[in-house]
Parts: sequence; structure tokens; C-alpha cells
Amino acid sequence: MLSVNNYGKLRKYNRLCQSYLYVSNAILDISANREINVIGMASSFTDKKGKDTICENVCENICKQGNKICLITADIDINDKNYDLNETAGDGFKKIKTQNISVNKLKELVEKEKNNDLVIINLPPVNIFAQALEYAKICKNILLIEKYCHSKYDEFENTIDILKQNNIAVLGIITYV
Amino acid sequence: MFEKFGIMDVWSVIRKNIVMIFLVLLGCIALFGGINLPRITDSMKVVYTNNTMNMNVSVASFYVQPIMDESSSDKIESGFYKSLPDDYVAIINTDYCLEHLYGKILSKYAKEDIIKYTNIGREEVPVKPQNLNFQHIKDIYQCKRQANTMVINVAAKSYNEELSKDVLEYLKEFLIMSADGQIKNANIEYIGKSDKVVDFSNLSQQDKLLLLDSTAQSASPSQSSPLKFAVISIIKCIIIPTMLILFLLISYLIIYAFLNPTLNRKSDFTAYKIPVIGEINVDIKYGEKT
Repeated sequence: MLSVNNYGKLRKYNRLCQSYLYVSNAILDISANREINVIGMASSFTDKKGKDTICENVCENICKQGNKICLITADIDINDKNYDLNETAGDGFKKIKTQNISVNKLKELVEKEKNNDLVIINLPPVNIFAQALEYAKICKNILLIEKYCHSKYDEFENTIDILKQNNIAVLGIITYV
Repeated sequence: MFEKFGIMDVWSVIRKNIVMIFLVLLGCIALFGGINLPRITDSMKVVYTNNTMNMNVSVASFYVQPIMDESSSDKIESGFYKSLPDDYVAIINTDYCLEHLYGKILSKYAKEDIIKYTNIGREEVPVKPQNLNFQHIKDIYQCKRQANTMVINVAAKSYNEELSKDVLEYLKEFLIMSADGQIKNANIEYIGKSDKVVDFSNLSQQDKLLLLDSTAQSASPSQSSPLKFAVISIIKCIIIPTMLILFLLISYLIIYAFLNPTLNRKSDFTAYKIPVIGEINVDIKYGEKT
């Protein structure tokens, strides 16, 4: 349930809802036009700056429009090498949280979830982790989520270069403040 | 690098580090305040004391009598005797006299008392008793010639009546016993003395001529009030160093932003020929409770 903590923020909140709706529609359009139902979402920076929240909210908006969606969060924890998979299923919105999943297992997981209208994989930064690039190759199509005044030129250019070199299409960029 | 760098980078790096800047500001104020506040308070006390305390001044006058004989008639005609009072003034202002006086004072007063009763203890950086030497007491007395006369005035000033009188007595003794023996062409005669309490904020013209040297002027209320002194001290010791540190910190942040430019507008992304499919302003978060 979307809610705000006071009436004064309502205008900003409406604008935020509209922007999420706009992004969701854009993703659905891209998916329909290109006939793709697996999309990766990555960023060029490593810090936790709200990318996961944006992924979840976008998926929630897509789900609200009557689509079945699966969000796979593929975390890499270099300090904890243990494999972990956590699955929660809602009404048309399935969330799978994985940690240190192997490429083959992720491929199997994606194949299994392809019956959904859209499978979105929340990826770690591809310019940092080699494993993340392997995950991105499964998606073949990537949406970049970049934060204004935080994404650095060299990191962003590096990400784009790596994706181009590996024939991974960059569908577009979602920016946020 | 230069074409990518923008004001937005500077603003964003300052906004990101605003808490740190604020903490550094507070830290500097606490640090410099902690270090300098006791000194400022002490100095303020000095200024306040200098402004409020009246000084005990003992003034003695002497007449310089030239020795006349037949052989000196030529010298008298040439006006030679006119410079004789200056000779006494010069002798009394020598280091030898100062050292003699310091020895005499020390034989009666403790160093702590000398500092307490004179301007030495009221300087911005007070002198410690173990560091006290004869040079410190040079402001304790003044010796001046009355213009166009053969009279010289010697004034001793302190915050203790007895010390002023004693200093004057030692100087009188020095003039009559030692200095007079050195100058063969004149005798010095003691005219008399007066003891008075002088308010430095309300000096007569005569006292100003005799008593106001550079030290006394700097301590006079018209030159520095405690409030003005406190404001200047706070600016000098706390605000300027704090501003300097802040300036260095912000300069570092600007250089950091300059060397690490970020993408901060839509056109920065579209320059890579990748469409921006949406902009989200995350001022308000999903899931906040009403």
C-alpha cells in the first residue's frame, strides 16, 4: 500500500507515482516491441544508493497493471561465499533473492520463470564483478539505473564499454535523484 | 575533464559532505576555543584591570645646579650647562641603573609581588616569576626633564603605594649617591616629592607628559575597551583559524569534485546515445506510514 506521512508531501508523492508509472510503461513498451521478457537492471556504482528500492517499486508498478512479474535479485557477497536463495510469492509478483548463485543455476532459474510476463534481474555492477557480467549475458538486455551526481563518468563509460564488448544491449537508462 | 566539470559537481559534493563540514566547523570552534579561551579570558581580565585600577604614582623633582668657577665661564657662555639635566636623565635610564634598582626591589619584594603590583602581570602574555629580570621593570619609572628648565622629574608608578614610594626612594638615592658623583660640572638637589593616585582614564596634561609612555598608552581605556579586545581576540584566535580550516576543507572537496566529475543532468546520459526512459525524484519513499 502506497502511503505518505503527511498531506504536504502529497504533491511530491503524486509526481513520484507518476514517474514510476511512466518508467513501468516504458519498460513494458520496450519488452513488447523487442519481444523480450528477461531484462537485467544494473548500475555503474557499488554503493547502496537506492537501486534495489527502485527495482522493486518498478516491478510493483508493472504488476499493478495486471502483469505477472518475477524479480530476481542476484547479490554477490565476496565476504560470504555461501549460496542462498529466498523466494517470496505475492499476487502476480514473485521475488527471488539469491546470493552468490552460479551462472548455470541462475540460467535455470530464469528459464523456469520465463512463464511470467516479465523477468527482471537486479544485477550487481558489471564493471566491478566478473560474475555480474556473466549474469548480464543471461539477460542479453540491460537497463541502467543511475543516480544523478553520484555516477562517475569513468565508471559509467567503463560499464557501457564492457556491455558493448560482450554484445549486451543497453535498452535505456533510469535516472534518479 | 574540464568540459565535464560543473558547478553541480561542487554543489553535490558539498551537499554530500555537509554533515562533515558542520562537524569540522564545530570541532574547530571547540578546539581553538578550548585552546585560546583561557588566554583570551586572562587577557580580558588584564585589560579590564588596566582600565579600572588606579595607579599609585610618586613623583620627585630635582634641580640640577651647574658648578660655576672662573675656568668654566667660557663653557657657560656656550650654553654647555643646558645639557646637564639630560646627562642625569641619560644615567638614570641606563641598564646599570635598572639593574641596581632591580636588585634593591628584590631585596624587599618577592618576584610574585613585583609582577602583581606592576604592569608586568597585566601584559597580554603575563611574565612568570622565574622568567622575571631587570628589563621587565623598565616601565616602573619615568625620568624626564622639564622643558627649558634645569628641573628633572622622576616618577615611579605601580599598583602598590609602598612599592611606588620605595622605587622613588631607590632612584633618589641612586641619583644623589651614584649619578651625582659621575657628573663633575653639576650638583643635583632634591626639591621635593608628591604621591598621588592616578586614574589613567582621566589624566591631566602634565601627568600625560610625564607618565604616558607607549606601555601606558596601550593600556589606557581609550585605546582598548574589554569588549573590543574580546571581539578582536575571538576573531584572531578562533574565527580566523576556523575559517582557514573550513576553506582548506572546502578547497579539498572542490578539487575532489574537479577530479571526479559526475553525471548530473539528463543531457549527460543522452550524450552516450542511450535513451533516458525515466527520471525518478526519490524525495518521498514508498511504504511510509500515515
